[in-house]
This record gives sequence, C-alpha cells and structure tokens, in this order.
Amino acid sequence: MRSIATEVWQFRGLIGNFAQRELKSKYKGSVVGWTWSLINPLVTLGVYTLVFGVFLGATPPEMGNGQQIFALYLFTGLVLWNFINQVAQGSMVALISNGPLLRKIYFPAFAPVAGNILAIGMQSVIELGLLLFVFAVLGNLSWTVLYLPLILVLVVAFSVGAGFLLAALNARYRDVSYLVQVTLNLLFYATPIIYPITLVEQYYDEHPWARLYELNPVTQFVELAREILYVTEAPSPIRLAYATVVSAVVLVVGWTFFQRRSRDLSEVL
Amino acid sequence: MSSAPVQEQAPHWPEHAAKALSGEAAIEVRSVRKKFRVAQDRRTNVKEALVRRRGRGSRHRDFWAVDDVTITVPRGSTYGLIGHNGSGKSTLLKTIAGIHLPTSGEVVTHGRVTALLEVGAGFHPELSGRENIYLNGAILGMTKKQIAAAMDDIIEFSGLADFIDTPVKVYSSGMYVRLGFAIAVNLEPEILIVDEIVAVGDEEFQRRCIDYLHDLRDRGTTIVVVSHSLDMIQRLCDRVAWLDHGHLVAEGPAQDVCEQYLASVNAAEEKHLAATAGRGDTSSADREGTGAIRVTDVVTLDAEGTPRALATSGEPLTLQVHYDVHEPVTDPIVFLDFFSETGVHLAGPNSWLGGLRLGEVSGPGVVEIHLDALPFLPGVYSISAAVASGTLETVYDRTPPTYRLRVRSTGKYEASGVFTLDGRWSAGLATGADA
Repeated sequence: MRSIATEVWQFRGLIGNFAQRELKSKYKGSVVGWTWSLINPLVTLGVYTLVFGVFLGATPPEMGNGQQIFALYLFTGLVLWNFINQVAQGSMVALISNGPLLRKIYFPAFAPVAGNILAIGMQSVIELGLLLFVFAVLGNLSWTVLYLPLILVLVVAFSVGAGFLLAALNARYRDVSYLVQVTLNLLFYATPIIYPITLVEQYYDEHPWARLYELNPVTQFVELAREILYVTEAPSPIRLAYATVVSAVVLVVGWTFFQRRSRDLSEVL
Repeated sequence: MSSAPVQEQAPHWPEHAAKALSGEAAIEVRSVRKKFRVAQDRRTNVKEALVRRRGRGSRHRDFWAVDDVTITVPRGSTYGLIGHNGSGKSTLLKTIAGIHLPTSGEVVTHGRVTALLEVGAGFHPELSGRENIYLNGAILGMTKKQIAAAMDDIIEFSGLADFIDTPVKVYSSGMYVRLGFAIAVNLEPEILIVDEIVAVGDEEFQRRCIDYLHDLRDRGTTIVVVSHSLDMIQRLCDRVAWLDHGHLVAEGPAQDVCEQYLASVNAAEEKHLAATAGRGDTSSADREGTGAIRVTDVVTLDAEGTPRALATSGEPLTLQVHYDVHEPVTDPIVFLDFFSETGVHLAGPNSWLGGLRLGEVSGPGVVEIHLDALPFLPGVYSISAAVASGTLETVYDRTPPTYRLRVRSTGKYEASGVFTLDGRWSAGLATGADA
C-alpha cells in the first residue's frame, strides 16, 4: 500500500498530464463541449426513471425526509456504477492505446492508466456534486454524509485495483476486454441499481443460496451509498467491513500484478 | 610541519571534464542478453493459452537480439553504436533506455535517461504544440516548473512560434520532428539516447541537431547514439561499439572501430559482388555504332593487377576495356565516360588524348587506363565505353552506362563532393602588397 502511494506521488505530474490530455482532447471540436459529460448521464437517468419508475412502477424506499423519489434512488447507485464501469473498461483502453509510446519512451506504465482513472473521477465528482446539491435542496442531508469520503475511498480502491488487473491481463490476452464487456453487462443487472435490493432479499429465506447475491462488492458499495445519502442512516457495519476487505485485497492484487507485468509490457503491447 | 593537504591545490576542472577524466561511468551494461520469442503462434487469447499449456511444445524460436554485451559509457562522453540492420543496436539502446528489461545481465545508469527513439512519439494530435510540450516533457520525466522554464527555448529552437497554439494534427511531418527534437534536447537531459534522429528533417534542421548535440556534449551530457552514418558517428563520438548479430565485435575509440567496421563491410560487399558478378550487359540491343568493333567488358583492377569489384578512393586504379573486332580498322579511339549517380557527366578521357595510337586492329584486345590516385569519393559511378574511328566520323560501338565503378572509402575522413581536389594551401597577410 505504501509503495502505491509513493509511486503515484512521485509521478503525479505525469499522471496529471495524462488526465489533462484525456480531458482536453475528449470534447475538442464539439460545440457544447463539456455539457456532453452531463447530458449523457442525465439522459440515461431519464430513460431508466421513465421505464422502471413510471412504466414498471418500481417503488423506492423512503428517503430520510419521508419522500420517495425513484430518480434519486437510481442516480445514487448510477453515479458509483458509472465510475466503476468506466474505470474497468477505460483502463484497458488507456494501456493499449499508449502501447506505441511505451515502446519508444521509458515511463511507468501505470501513469496513463492512472491518468485515465483521474479523468473519469473528475466526471464522477461533477455527477456526485449534482446529486448532493439536489439532496441538499430537498433537505435530505444528514450527518451520515460524513461517511461519504470513506465509501468513496473504498470504491476508488476497488476500481483502481480492478482496472490495473484488467489492463495488465488485457495486454497479454486481448479477449479480456470482450469478456469484461459481457461481465459488466451482467453485473449491472446483478447489482441493485435500477431495482431496490428488497426485490432480491425476499428470496433469501426461501432460497439460502440467493444470499450469494450479497458477495458482489458493487452491491455493497451501492447499498452503502444509499444508506448514508438516500435513507440517511449510518452504514451497516457488516457491509462496510466486507467492502473494506474486498477493496483492499483487489487493490493490492491488481497493483502487484500490474507492476510485475509492467516491465514486459513493451514487448506485448 | 605544514599539514595543509596538497590535494587542495588541484586545478579547477570544469565539472564535466573532471568527471570524464575520472572515468566515472554514466551507463554500465554488464553481460546483457535479451531474448525475443519469435512466435509462430503467440497465444493471444485465453482459450489457446489453456489448450496449449500442456502437450505439444509451443512452436516458437528463441532469438537472441543482444547476446552477452558488456560496455561502459563514461560520463560526459558521446558513445556510438554501429552495425548492420538487425545487429541488435536498437534493442541494446532500448534496454539502456529502460524500455526493455534484459533477459539476463544488468544495465546500471547513473543519471536521468532521456530517450529519443522516435521523435514526437508522445504527441496527441488534438492538443496544441504547447500542450504537447507539457505532456511530452512530463513523459520524459520533467516537472511542470522545469518545462515552463524551458518553454521559450523549445519554441525558439523548433522555429514553430507561429503554430505553437495550433493542434499538432495539422503539423507537417517536418514540424513534428522539429518540435519533438526541440523538446528532448532542451529539457537538460543527463543521459540522452538518440536513434537515427537526423535521418529526418530538412538539411538546415539536421545541421542544427548535430550542432546542438555537440553543444550538449560540451556541457557534459552523456550521449548514446545509433546511426548508419559513419561520417556522423566519427565526427560526434568519442567511443564506438560495433555489434553484429547481437554480439559485441569491437569496442574502442571511434576512429579505430569505424575503420575496422568499414573494412569488414567492404570485404563482405566485394565477396557479394564477385558472387553475383554484376557485369554490364554486352548483348544489349540499344548499342550505338556500326559494330565493326564491340566492347565486351570493362574491368576494374587494383594496383597489383587483380580484378576487383570495388575500387578505393585515392588509390591506384586500372580500368581495362576489352573488345572484339569484327571488321579490321586502323587507329580507333577508345572513350570512357564517367557519370555520377545523379547522371552528371564527370569525366570523359579517351585514348587519343592520352597519346595512345592503336594502329591496325584485327583481333580481340584490351585497352587500359592507369590512374595513380582515383579522385572519386566513395559512391557508385556509371561508366560507358565507346570506340570510334580516328577521324571521329564513324562510331563503331557505344555501350550504355551500365558498367559500375564502386568506390569505397579508406575509412579516413574525406571531403564532401564527388571527387578530391588536391592542392597546396598557404596563408599570407591581406595587406595588399606584393606577396
């Protein structure tokens, strides 16, 4: 863990530059530019709200202030999901697309991947800010929001670890990216984002194996975020403990694997 | 007794000179070997990896690109790597730059390595020149402050002041190269690694690059360079390593190693030429002349009279024109015309001007011209041979310029141009009075 921090700090300038390159080039030549980064998630949010909230009549739990707003319930999960999803896929692309550069100049291979994660993070921060703003306007912020940094750290650690692991694997076996696409598609529905978790929980007593559902760490992240932001309760200790362990393990494994592989990358990229 | 240490009176060397003299190493390459897997079937998908793990041995061939190379690059020196294509120069360069990890052995570098293996490799097309300078500088290991400090120099050196805030995607390839080189050399590299950079860019920029490399060298930067231009290597480098098929053949002062290398290249080329016997086509239909006499061959002989595929610049040379006579003639004149690679007619000696009268010719014969010192500089020249009547009224035969005169270098530094112009130089005062 210490080595991650020191390495990242040592090359912060380079990581920042890669992030800047990502952000600056993303909307170059488009008229509304940065507005796109908000249009996209808001349209998704609108569609899901319409389909699941209105047509299918999903009823979300009550918010801390007693209201029931499906769009906010959905968006709380969606913000986290977007980040994890984009990091998992973007890390592989970031490493592959910098292959020509890595073959020509020596620099740490984690830098472009980390820069890409940073760029995605910027986007997520904006989305999260919007969400918090709406909660504040509705008077649904409580002291539990203080848990948010902790939960974000866990989500970031998990995503970074997974991103590095997948990037290194994909450099060697290019099928990984296709496998990941499929897996993420499934994972989206295996996570209570567009439906409340109670929908699954009702089967727990009847079918004990259904509890496997809780092993999905993304489920834990989403539920933790909803507990502190939407329902405004203290996070459940079991979820928090499980999420912490998984995040730490994924981060260490992903980073170690990536660093071990990174010296050979110039030959396989 | 005075106890003042004597060492304190040591002269003050400039820092880099002192370091170079002390023989301190900037780069130590110790028994480095680098294996590449030339894969007939590299497993790039999971299924194959699982299926092929056991059973049939994987069908790949190991290829040692660099095989047990040990060299030491002294701090502040300029070091050249030479060798033919595929000799492992670039692999060694990449290993020194840290891009490849040696399979065995180790590379120790003392100082920040800046590698210039492909100029402008890190440019993002959508970003402006200025933004790319920051990005590229960061990739090369500089802090934002250092880059900002060098910004003006970089822009000035690249000569792109008018375009620096335009996306680099609209740059010409020359502009690309100029910007890339300007970044690499202006960021105060401690150890600079250069792979054939001067092959690109216009004449003027190339000269500026070379000048700048000299400048960096004088400031104490250690430079490692790969080039096919022996001329450039000799002018720039202190020491040279010659690699062949991954092995270190020779290592030492630039002049010595370059001469050895050149001698070996020349010998190999001569062998190759002798084997393929690149003679002119004597049956060619596009021959001019009546055909009373036919030139059958033009042969190059060295000072000992041995036929040679290669001639050496500045050394004695004999050219033989072989001919066949179909109708006896009297006093024909033999002409030789020399052309440069660009088709310039360089010289046209003939036997009549040379004072040779052939008399009555009725059978196969040979006419020779002896040169005490071949004035042509290294290169390939074309020769056309002709035979005409003494009155120049009738041309008996004229071959197209298909005979080749291959001139090689002696390895010594040579002037530029096509041929040597020897003369005695002297100096005097410009007072205008009688000399």
